[in-house]
Amino acid sequence: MDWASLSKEKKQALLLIGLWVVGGLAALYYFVLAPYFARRSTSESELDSLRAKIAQAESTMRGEARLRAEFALYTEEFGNAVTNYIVPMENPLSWVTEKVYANARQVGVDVQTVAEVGSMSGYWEGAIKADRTVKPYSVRIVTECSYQQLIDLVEILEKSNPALCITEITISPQDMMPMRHVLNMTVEYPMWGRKPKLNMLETNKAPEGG
Amino acid sequence: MSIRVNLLNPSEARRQGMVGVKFMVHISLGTAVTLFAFFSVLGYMRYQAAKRDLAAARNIWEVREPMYNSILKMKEDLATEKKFQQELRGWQDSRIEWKPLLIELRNMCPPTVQLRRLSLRGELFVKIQPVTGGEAATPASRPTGQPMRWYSITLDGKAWGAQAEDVVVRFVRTFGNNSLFKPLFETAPRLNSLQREMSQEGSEPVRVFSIGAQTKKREIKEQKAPRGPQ
Repeated sequence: MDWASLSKEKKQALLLIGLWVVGGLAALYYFVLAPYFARRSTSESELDSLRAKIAQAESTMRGEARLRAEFALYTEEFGNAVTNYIVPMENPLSWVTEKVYANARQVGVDVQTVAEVGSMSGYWEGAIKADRTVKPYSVRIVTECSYQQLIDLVEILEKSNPALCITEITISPQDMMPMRHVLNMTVEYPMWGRKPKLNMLETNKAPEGG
Repeated sequence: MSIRVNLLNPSEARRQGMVGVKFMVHISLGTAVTLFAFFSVLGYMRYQAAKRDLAAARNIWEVREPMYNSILKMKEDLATEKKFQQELRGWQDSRIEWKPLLIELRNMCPPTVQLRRLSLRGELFVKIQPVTGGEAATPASRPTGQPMRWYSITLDGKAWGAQAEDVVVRFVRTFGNNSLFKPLFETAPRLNSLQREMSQEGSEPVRVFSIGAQTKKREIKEQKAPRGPQ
């Protein structure tokens, strides 16, 4: 087939066919092949991503029983601490007074005064903003008791709350009653600075209850 | 001399190769179309298989995802609870348990000495931590110190007898060397004052004394939880 010897109409027809073929191939690529490859690529990448997620989930869930047991243990300890050791933000003096009187009654000490001691340092405000959850809350306890009663009171206070700290004890004599001393004691309790955020519903209720 | 004359019109000449141009074109087109069709079918089958696998994976993930998320939340909560426990342990370790010390104090007191006043006063103190070059951009809200507690102990009392001074000095030494108190002290207890009681005249000499001591600083740090793997 000699191009030069072809007639003008044949050349035009051949050019037209060539254009159709190129156009057809372009249309085939843009409308069929490209979307097909794109879908295939998306499906494959989604499949890869899902497979990776499933593998990770399975690996995480493999230790689920142990995790649940540990979680149950810590949650119980957390709940216990929240209920018994941490002073709530709302009405703290009432909470502390109740604890102090209950403890004192057990050892036969008649507490005269429980008063709040305002001694918050700026450090704790910053620490709470940064990473700590509790800050000190101090109360002054005034009573009259014997030395043995002081020992018993100290023991029961320290046993009732492992995070409690007796920061001051002053025992002064009374001339008329040598066996009964005037006791001034400052006790520092941990108090919520900010409640930790917990995701699980059951434990999320715990700090609110404190 | 021979002359070669080609009388054929070039368009009428046949190609002299083993296969004709027409055959080559047909074979090439046929091969291209066959290969294209083959790979298209192969690609389509792979695509269909991937779609099936994807549907299966989506089903599995639909079941696993809530369980996985629940475990992640549980892990997050557990980390929070552990951190909280560590914080409380830090508080616990910073305190001094006074009960055994009060009992010991009573037991070590000589019979000729009467303790009149006992004062244990705790102080909270923040040890400023040095800021290194890399921490220059520390946010203002972040504390740069470590909270610590220490206590000053003051014992005021009276001693009777001819050698009351010696008794008091021995008592100071006993107090400083006591196995329960000694590890707590920053430095050995000091006798702050020892003097004759003015109101007492005549009979037995009475000495009033004051002893002071200071405990070591105890950090309120976040202790490592002793149990529970992460």
